[in-house]
Amino acid sequence: MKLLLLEDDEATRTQAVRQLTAAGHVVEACGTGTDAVFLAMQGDYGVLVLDRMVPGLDGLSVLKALRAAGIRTPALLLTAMDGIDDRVEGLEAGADDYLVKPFAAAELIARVNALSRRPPMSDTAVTATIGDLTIDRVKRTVTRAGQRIELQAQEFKLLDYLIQHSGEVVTRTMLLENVWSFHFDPQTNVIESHMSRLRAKIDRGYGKDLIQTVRGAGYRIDG
Amino acid sequence: MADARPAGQSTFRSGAFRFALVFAGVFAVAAFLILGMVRHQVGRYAHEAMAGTLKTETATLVAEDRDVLSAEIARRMAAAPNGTFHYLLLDPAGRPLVGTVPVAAARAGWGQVVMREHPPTPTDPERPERLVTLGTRLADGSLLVVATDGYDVDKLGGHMIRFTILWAITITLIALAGGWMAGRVFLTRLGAANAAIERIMAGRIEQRLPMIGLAPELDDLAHNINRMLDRIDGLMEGLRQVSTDVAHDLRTPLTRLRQMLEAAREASGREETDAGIEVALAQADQLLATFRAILRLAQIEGGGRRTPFAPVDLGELLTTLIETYEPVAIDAGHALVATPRADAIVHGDAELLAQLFANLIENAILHTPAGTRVSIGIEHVPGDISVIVSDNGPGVAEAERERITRRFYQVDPSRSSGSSGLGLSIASAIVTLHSARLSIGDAGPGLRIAVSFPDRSGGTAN
Repeated sequence: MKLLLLEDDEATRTQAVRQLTAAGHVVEACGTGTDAVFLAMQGDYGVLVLDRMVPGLDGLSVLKALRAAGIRTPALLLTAMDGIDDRVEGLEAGADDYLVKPFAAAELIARVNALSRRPPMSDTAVTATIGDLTIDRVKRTVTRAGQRIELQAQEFKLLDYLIQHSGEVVTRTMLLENVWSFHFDPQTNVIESHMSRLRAKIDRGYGKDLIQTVRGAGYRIDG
Repeated sequence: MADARPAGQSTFRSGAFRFALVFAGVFAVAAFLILGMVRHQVGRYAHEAMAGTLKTETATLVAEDRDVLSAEIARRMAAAPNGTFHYLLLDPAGRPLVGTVPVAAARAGWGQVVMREHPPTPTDPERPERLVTLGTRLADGSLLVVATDGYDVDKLGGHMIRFTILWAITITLIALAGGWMAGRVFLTRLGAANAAIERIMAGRIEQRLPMIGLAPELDDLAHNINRMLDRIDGLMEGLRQVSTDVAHDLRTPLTRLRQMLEAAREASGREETDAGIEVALAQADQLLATFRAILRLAQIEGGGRRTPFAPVDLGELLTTLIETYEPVAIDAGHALVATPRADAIVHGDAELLAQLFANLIENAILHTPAGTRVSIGIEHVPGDISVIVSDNGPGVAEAERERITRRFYQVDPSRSSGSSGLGLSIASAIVTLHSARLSIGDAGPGLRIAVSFPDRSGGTAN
């Protein structure tokens, strides 16, 4: 997929281009906001990755300008600030996701991948199926190989989020933000505790493990 | 702010009123003294004037020929029956010749006598008159007594006393009323200043005191307090800036370090190197998390937020948090007991409040041994909604309790449990931002942390 990256710090830009390219994307990078607006208006990009703080026209203004011009390309804002208001401001300006620096390469790649397939059809459908597992979002039921599985509310949300991003890596931060609405670092193993319970319910005793741990990155559900 | 003085102070207890009271007393005494002196002087003057008229009247009579004196006295008495003067003439043998003054007053020089002007009647009660008499021995040995009543002088004196008392009471009442009004004005002005101080203590440190008015020295006071606040603000800002700058500046090299470690891991492919890099990455992540916490804390403490507060259902929030932390607690060998209630709505930032209670719950899980029970509940008393997080673990010594909200403070440094040491600092900052109160106490045994919010619903919330 073709990505546009706006980042003024050369070291960070080079690093990000290398990481995204290694993940199989084509990256066009620029260092100023004006360039970014120009390129985004011309090119056909899958995802825009914009650094919020660049000299001159900053990422937020670029995004506002593009949204005003009717460009709906999914956008990921990068920022060194992780205040609550900053995030709200970014989302209000039309960002689809928000990533606080510093971030792991896996985090950036996971977020870009998650954005590239928006709007996903599966998260609006009533039922979704992964392998022999089916969830019903209205009845809030889960069945695997024809057997009903009882899940707690938060376990269901966690599974649903994994299924919405099936085949992709979801990171711990993505889960914290989207399943628990936690925009801070918990000091305890919140994700691990819930994940182990979910796995015990949907994977234990069935032939194939649907949920995989991706080392150094997060989790992935595969059919 | 538990020890803040009640805002609605009685005007009668105000300093201004007490001053006015003292001044009223001084005024009353002074007025009393002045009027007393005036009364004394006026009385003396009236007395002298009376004595003068007596002397003059006596002189005119003495000047008369002795032979016609009796006739002259009779003439004068007849001319003015209710006149100023009363007379008595006695012959050398002491027999009264003419006049109405009682013979008891017959002696030379000044004297006093009581005389009944007329017998009492139903309409005019008997009114004895006190007369001042002046007796003069004539050349032939007879005695002439001229008298006048001291009634007017007495009446004047009585008037003066009544006037003095009335005036003292009036002036006292006026001073009291004035003092009460001055006290009210004073309290109103000071009330505004006090309210500003309350807001500053509640974390709105950008607030300043209004000018108090009334007196330049009070404005000087307000002005100086404001300057002091500016100075404190500057110092605090400096301190905050240092920690924020350190966190910010170290974050960039650390990020590079992390990226290089990732690159090295991708490149190496050797098991033992990978394991080492993995540990290094974990350490870098821990450092970065601490810096994030410092920056987060600075941001909350800075208070420069734009997201407006909204009603937050604490019961709902806690129920979600308990669902979140129950597996964590069980995995750590703890029990989580919860009794949240439904009707606890506070005004705040839901995201920050979630972090606040998450921090408190995590704190209880991380810093107590396995087997500890952690209880979460809401207490709702009129005017106050409290969230209580308590455990039956070893607790914290009383002397340490105040310190545990300090940055990087660890009760037991050997048991840091991998936490940043900022959890309770952030919790405390969030509490302050919400004008709530954090109290750290004894659960007997264990630690009991209560966050008390002012209940603004006043029972009228729907």
